[in-house]
Amino acid sequence: MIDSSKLADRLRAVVAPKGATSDARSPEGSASRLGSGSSQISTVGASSREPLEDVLCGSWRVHSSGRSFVVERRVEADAQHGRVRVRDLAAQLDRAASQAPMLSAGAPARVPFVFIDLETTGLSGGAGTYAFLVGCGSFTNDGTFLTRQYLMPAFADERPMLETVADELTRAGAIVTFNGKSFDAPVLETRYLFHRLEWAGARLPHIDVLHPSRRFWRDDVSSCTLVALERQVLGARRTGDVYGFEIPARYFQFIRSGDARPLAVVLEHNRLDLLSLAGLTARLLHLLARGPGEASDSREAFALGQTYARAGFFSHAIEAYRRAMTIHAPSRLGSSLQVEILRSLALAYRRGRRFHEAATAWRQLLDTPGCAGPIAREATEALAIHHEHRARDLAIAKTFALKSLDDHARPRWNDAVRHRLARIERKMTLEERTDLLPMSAVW
Amino acid sequence: MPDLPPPTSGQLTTRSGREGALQAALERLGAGHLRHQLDRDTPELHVTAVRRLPAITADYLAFPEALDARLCRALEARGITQLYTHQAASIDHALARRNVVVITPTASGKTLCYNVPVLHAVLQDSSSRALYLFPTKALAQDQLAELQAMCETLVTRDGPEIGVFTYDGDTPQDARRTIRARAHLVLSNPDMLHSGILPHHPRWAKLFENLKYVVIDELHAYRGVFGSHLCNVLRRLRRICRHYGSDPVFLCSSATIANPRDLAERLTEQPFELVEKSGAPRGEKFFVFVNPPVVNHQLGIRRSYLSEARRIASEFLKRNLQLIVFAQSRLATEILTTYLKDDFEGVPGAPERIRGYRGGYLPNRRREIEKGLREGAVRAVVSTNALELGIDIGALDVSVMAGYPGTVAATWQRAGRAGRRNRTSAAVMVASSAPLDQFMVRNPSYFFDASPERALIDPDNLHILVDHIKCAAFELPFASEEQFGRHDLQQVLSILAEQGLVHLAPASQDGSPATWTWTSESYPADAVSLRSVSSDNFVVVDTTGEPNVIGETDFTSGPATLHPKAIYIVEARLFQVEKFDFEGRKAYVREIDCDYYTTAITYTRVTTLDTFEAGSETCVGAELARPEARAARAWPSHGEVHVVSRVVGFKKIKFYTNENVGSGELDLPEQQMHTTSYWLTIPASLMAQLPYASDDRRDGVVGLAYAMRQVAQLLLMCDGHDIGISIDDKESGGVSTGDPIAPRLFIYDNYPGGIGFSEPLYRMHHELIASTRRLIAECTCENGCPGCVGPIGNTGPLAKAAALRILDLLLPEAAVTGMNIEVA
Repeated sequence: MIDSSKLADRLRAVVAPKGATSDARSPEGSASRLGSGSSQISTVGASSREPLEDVLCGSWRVHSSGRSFVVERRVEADAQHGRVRVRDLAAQLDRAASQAPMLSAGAPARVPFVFIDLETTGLSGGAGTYAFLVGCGSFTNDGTFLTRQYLMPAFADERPMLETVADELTRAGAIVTFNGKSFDAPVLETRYLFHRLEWAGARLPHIDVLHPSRRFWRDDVSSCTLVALERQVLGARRTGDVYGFEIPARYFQFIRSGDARPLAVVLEHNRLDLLSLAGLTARLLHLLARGPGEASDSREAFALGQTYARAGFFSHAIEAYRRAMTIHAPSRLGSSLQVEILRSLALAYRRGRRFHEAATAWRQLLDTPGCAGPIAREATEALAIHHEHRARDLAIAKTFALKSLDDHARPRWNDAVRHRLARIERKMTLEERTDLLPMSAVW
Repeated sequence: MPDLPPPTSGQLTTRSGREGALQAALERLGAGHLRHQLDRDTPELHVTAVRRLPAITADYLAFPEALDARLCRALEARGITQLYTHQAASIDHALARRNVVVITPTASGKTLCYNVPVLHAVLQDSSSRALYLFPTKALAQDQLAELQAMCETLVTRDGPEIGVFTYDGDTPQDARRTIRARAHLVLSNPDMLHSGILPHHPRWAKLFENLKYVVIDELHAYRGVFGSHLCNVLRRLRRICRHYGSDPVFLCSSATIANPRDLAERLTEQPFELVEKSGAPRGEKFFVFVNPPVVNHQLGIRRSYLSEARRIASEFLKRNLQLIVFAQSRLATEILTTYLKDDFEGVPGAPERIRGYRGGYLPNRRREIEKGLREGAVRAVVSTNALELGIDIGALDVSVMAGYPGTVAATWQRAGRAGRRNRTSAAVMVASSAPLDQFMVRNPSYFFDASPERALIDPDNLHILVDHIKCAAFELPFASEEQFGRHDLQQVLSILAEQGLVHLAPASQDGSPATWTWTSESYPADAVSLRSVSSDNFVVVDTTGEPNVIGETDFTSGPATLHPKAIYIVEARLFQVEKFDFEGRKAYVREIDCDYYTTAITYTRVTTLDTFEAGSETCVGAELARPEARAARAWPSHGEVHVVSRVVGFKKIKFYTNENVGSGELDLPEQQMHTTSYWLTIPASLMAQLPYASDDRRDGVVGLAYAMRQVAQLLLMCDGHDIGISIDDKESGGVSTGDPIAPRLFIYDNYPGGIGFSEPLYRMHHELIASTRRLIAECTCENGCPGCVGPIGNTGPLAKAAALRILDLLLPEAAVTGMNIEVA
């Protein structure tokens, strides 16, 4: 057994080996990092122990298992968020709400939507990752955007906080998040399970706006952030926002010092996230309701088509794809996007049993520069099938089948093509013979 | 298979077919003298010992009455109508909720010992859950098939559906939710429990609430670093179980070691029942010790043990017997695989009959080799200790050990890979010229009569303990009165709080206690690898064609095996390291054709930081009273040290001839660690008494260190790389003053923070010195050889004499009493 002071020295050597830089998690470290950030909040102040209610302008609510702290804010209907008025967002959402199931994998999402965004103590998940702030947003009947942010003022207050959030969700028709399927929902689920409570979100339809956002506005995952989208789609700009990586440190600093001022900017960040999330949702639903005429570029129109096609609305999808082809001159449309659109268009025609138009689209696709490899094989195969079975022009079918032989394809592909070729040739011989024979001989 | 006729004692009986082939091969080993040698040791001969382990008949008991009738019927349907006595005893303990550890030889039906109580519990109450821990993923896969078959039999006999699933790093993400919901029996490994289950315990609430049994298979595998980690993982597991209100019973199985109950109790911190008498039948087995003949008596050089192992393996292979060859290192494995492939592999492209097997091969290749062995297509496998554990490779005919495996327990375990039930089998141990091997091969009764070794762990190694306290705090806040491990938890937490990792919330007015909560963004389990003290490793990238990862090496041995120009061997294919990226932890290799391999030269320096104990009475005994003896007395000590090691060069060794065909210098970064060490200080006055020149004295110390290291390994039941040795004679750095110096000889734990070898070694100081003296004194060489003080080229011509003289002075009375080695 080692004596106590010696143990402390040895522990320090183990926990913070020489040479390791002082960690930003330490109270001093986080203070200096916050000081250099964009925050206006001074962390050196006399009255750091001002009541939470005053610092964050919130109030305590009493719940059966304890009390919880809520910050309630309103964005008035006449206020602007970027290019749009809040009232218009509310109206768009209201009018287009029936399109929502297209964004929730068919689950019966309905109003009222509750927008949810968490601030957590880490990104890894697991029992030691806490959601210290659960932000909930919704529109009131008069078009005001109302946010209620539930804060966990101490770890011991988690259970009443979760129960209050569950109450908030009882009236919801759907929850709406940004990347919530992968992050917010699992984190919350773990927190509820930790306290042996039921996670209300499990039985509610869930619209995760991240995936449609990528389709509609940004392909690249790393740049598809809420802040980038709100600027691009809604024309909103933030000033004095907190960096995401600072957020846990600010919370830990609050936990240690009791000084809630570093959290003010976190609550503001969360509130803006909720508002932009509502704005993006409104834009998506509005586009879905109004159709491709509202699309501002080919990418939006194409994404609209994909969303319709996924929901089984093939004629809507076709309309959207055709619009995507015409918004810009083909020269301005990147050839890879053009290839994608034509392929989707051809598939939508086929699913809608409009075979002739499908064949035209496949041909157009083959003529598009940049159409190569698997997509070209798919097109020639589709055309071979079309001409063999629908158009019944075996000579053309044979030409396409030959074209779809490809040295770069897998052996199984070429085997299938050869099989098709053999069948077409058999049919061709049969046809030649039947040409010579009286009909009765065929029957 | 019919029972074989009982063999007549003292004679090798002639039998037809496989038995005859086995006997013929054994006769060839001893050039026809084998039958005269049975049970009569001949240390000076080529074959030093032949023992016949007679067949043992089975000892049965009926199913316990309390056992669920459906389970009994299902067992009967699978051909099990009664239990071996050890199975019945284990099941009795388990049903009475007593923790039990059962010692079982290979193929004695150990799985029934734990599967029966587990399935019984699920049949009695379908909410019951059990967690199985295997040291490797492969073992869990092996068990899965057996358990699923058993559960299917239960279902067809009106039993309930019982979910059995493996849950490890290979489990697809989308299957995990289903497994959490449906598994009654979760088959996993300590690593997955540590990083994938415990940190996510809320999602496993059902398992932890209803956990009736925790099964730990291959308990003996958990010694040293791995065992010390497992103990802490189990502390975390029991803590989570308490949180969910369960208190599982531990069911463990172990190969034969000296202290199975003690190990189980240390690992789980729970009292245990021990079941050690096996009721299983065993086939007859011949155990042969071979010492390669001396080819140069003066230098004490024997024929290469690898060549000898190759010759012996060939005798069996020629007669179409299936065998496993165990080699001591990855390198030796590859060399032997190359030799045997050269001798026996058919035309290129034909199915491979000879395979290599070791850690660092990718899983698919390993599964393919295991299957080949079971089906008989693979006739011989050359393996490191990777196949020592209970992976199902079927019943082989012969186990050849190229080199003494290092411990009595591992030797029996490896011998057990050959032979099942009613078949005669053979095990052959070929000694290398290493001192430990030579000691064993010349003293066969030490091996055959001795108890096996103790498994040691040190779960309170601060590096390891602190890592797991972080993980535990992440999983569940610590209460201010909680305990975790031997050290003061509150103090550990307050130091973690200094780093901002945890925060103490004071007790509140409403009575909730003060708690420590995790306040960091990190996921601490990710930074902790259970297989090493640090989780770092190096990957080997083959750049011959498209870059392709072909293996990996742990951090400590990286520089020695992957330095620039090193030859890296995978299943007899040779690769040369072209670039060693120390920072990026990668080595880039290219396949080459050459006739040599490389061994690294490492320079190590040790400095003491803190002496925990030195020269206590227990070690020195009564004759301390004599002041002049005291002055000449060597002081054993143990404490904390700083070790700096650096790979400074390498040698090229030609295949087959083992000639040194070249060397090179290297400039690689130092590796440093704090660890614990035993050390022996030889007083300057004693050194001064030696009638030799100072260089020769120094040679004596070097030779002594060489021999002591081997004996320490024997006494500690550890692998060669678990300990390191270093000599500090204070002259190496500075100018020689000509004054007598007091050299210090360190035997240190080769892991940061130490792993619990140093203090036991300090307590065994007397045995260490006495056995070292015996090893050197009994060696037949003239001036030193690899079997005692090291090859004469490495030491000097007087090393052996000087080392012996030092030992005589250290132990003035030892020469008289003729002390024997005793195993604790």
